[in-house]
Amino acid sequence: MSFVSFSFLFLFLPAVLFCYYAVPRRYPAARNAVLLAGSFLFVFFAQPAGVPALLLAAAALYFLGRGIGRARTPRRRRGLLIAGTALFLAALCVFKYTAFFVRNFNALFGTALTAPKLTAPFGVSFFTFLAIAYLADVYHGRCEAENNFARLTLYLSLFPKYSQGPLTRYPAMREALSARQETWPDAAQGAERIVLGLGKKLLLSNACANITAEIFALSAGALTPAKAWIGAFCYAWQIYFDFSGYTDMALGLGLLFGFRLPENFRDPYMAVSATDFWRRWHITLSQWFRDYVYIPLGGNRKGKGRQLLNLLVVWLLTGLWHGASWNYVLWGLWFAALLMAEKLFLGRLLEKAPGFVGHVYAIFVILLGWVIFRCQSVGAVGTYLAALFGATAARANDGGYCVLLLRQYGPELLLAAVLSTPLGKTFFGLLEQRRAGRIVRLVILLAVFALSLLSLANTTMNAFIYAQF
Amino acid sequence: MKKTKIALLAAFLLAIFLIPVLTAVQCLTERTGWSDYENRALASLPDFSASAILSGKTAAGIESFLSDHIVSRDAWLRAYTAIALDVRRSPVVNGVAVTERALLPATGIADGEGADCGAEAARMAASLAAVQKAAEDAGGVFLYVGIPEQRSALRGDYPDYMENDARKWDAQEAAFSAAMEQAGVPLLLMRPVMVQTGGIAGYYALTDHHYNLRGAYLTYETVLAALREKGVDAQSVQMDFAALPNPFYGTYSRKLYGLSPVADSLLTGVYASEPSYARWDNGVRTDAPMQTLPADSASPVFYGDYMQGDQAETIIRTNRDGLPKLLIVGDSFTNAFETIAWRSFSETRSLDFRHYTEKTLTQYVADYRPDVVLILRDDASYLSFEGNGALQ
Repeated sequence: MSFVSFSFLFLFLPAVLFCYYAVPRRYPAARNAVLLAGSFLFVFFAQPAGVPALLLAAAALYFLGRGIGRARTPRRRRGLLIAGTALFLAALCVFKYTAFFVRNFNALFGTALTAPKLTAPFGVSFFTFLAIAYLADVYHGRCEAENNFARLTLYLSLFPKYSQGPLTRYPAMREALSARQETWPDAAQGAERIVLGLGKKLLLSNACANITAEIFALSAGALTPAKAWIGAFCYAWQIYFDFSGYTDMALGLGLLFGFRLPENFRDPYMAVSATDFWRRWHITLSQWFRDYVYIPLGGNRKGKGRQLLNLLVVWLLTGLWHGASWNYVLWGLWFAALLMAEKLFLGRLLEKAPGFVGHVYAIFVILLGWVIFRCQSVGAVGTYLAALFGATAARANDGGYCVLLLRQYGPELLLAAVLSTPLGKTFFGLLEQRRAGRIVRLVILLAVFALSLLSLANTTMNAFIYAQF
Repeated sequence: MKKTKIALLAAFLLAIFLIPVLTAVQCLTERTGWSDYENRALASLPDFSASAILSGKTAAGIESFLSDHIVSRDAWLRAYTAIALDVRRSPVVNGVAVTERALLPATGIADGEGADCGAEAARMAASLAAVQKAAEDAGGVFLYVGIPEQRSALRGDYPDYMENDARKWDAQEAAFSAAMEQAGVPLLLMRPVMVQTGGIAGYYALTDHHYNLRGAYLTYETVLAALREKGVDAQSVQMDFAALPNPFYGTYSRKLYGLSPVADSLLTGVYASEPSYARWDNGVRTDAPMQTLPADSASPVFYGDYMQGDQAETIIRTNRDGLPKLLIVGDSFTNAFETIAWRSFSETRSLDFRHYTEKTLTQYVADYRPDVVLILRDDASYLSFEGNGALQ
């Protein structure tokens, strides 16, 4: 179930909110039960088979966590951690990568193996990472193993963050899971985040999506450099407003139920390097890879060579996590190469250069990264990159197309450009300081809400990009 | 907490709690199952059987039902459209290119479509040659009539900055014409005829993808002239045109939910006399008129009022034995044509292979043995092998 759907906004959410607040505050366990039931319903609505998968994962996690917590010897604790991690990773690999593996095996060895048709459980990429993080945190003593199965299951399944994160750590969630304060200011802030998220997705991301869908579908003969660059910029905005819109809604929903989920974005397109970008984009995923892959591999503690190798591993895995396709692998390798270069020499050069150089560089490499990410195959990546730099035969007068774009999507593109910088937040912050400004702010938010609902009524396809990962 | 924060929270909660309640009330009190604007049945209540629930169909059905029956849905859609039309002044609204004079389908970036369609054209011409042979074997004549679709006919109405696909349509038509000539299959292209007789625009609806009744009549007269040259004794009838005052829901004005800035009317034919006839639609005798006229001047009218819209098979008998028998095949462009053409034949049969599945066209021709076999298609369908392009 998408947050941006009638069934979520006008059926599921009011029903869960009503049931949740119908339970008196003095019964937190009962409120958790309502949330748990709601979360299972959320998963069931999206994919009925996802419920038993989630239950199995929760049960395995519960027993593995308890096992690690109770184990008397370090060796046994370590064994359980490795076994648990392997179990969850194996499940993820089987569901997500079997077809990819078989396809490539066939291509490599000329075989005709048939991949079993497996449907990955809804949210598997995210709850697998939550589970691994939980086992590692229990193992390292960052938290105790949870004794309450329902509470652990709620951690895993909490619907605001279930399908696309943010990836929350159990130690940070534990207190909120057992005792939290739902307040009106939080609820008001939550409503605002939800409205902003709806607007980002329905008004900005979808508009950019219309442009990118057309441009990325063009053949080499029609893909002129101007169109290719327009497509690259629009995709950068599309994916940002899609994912950050979703995240705004997730955080807002969390606040409605008293949870403060971690931020996932910090003006990523203001980055001054690829390294900086990954401190600002999908922050919780970057932190997950840092804490549960990069540092355990040795991080930067075992010499430059090992650090670079660790970076390569992390980014290969990051690419693969996003999807079982070579373009995602290539995308991971692209960032691995950039981060290695920045560690070796580029970072120092960028630091010495004027500030705008870093921005221009970062935007340039991020855009190329998104092109690799968006193309459906490695061949398409090559074609698109060639078009960006004028190396295809496509020659057309793009003036008409630009006029059409500006007339059709001018306001959206302008807003996307502005709101992908901190200007929007600064403007909203200034409005907040005066009474008249607060009224203007309210009017803007109500208009965004109304326009988003009108857009929702007029649009049939509102799937989030990250829901597919 | 600031009052503005409270106001936003209140508005949000009011919306998410009130809209489902009002929707439920509306569903219980008003039974709406059809959308005239969208020309489709609205989603019915989802299946709540165990198998549907477990397969996920129920969840999908709930979303479809809610989005189709949300309270005041038409008002939402009209508001969205009005903002796009009047506030934003978007050149494309709901997939419709809104031009100064006409509503046209929005086009994408030109991507070389139609540039290399010679092989497809030759394949289609070979397929049509087989139909021609079947017609001639049955003692009749064959003619393929090509009619520009509205977007092709009114290509000049697209603004300069928008692709009008002219190169695509012209390339397809040129390839198709060449292939038909090479295969020896008679082809009558209406575009030049329309251009020569007063301008092509006058023969087209401004808000629908079809020609208007004037275009259908010109096609009818031109076809009959071509048939007479082939020795078929078919005389055309004279008619006048009257514009219905009713709101015309065309293909594209529908998408604008009745807010079209372009005025357009559906035409009806006025004839000196009306031959008696008997009509069968899909094997069932019917008293349906050739054009359904509205009960009052406020009811909407549609292109589908001609011949009751698309039928798998229609048979019209006038029992005037001296006149030839006509078999006509095609998509919805045949409807307005048939409204007029049946008057010139003793029997007219119409087949639409998007719906008709009993026989192939060649089998039908062999069994029926018509004097004239006419395939009438729009230029967007010349090289389509689906529906009425799947001839074997």
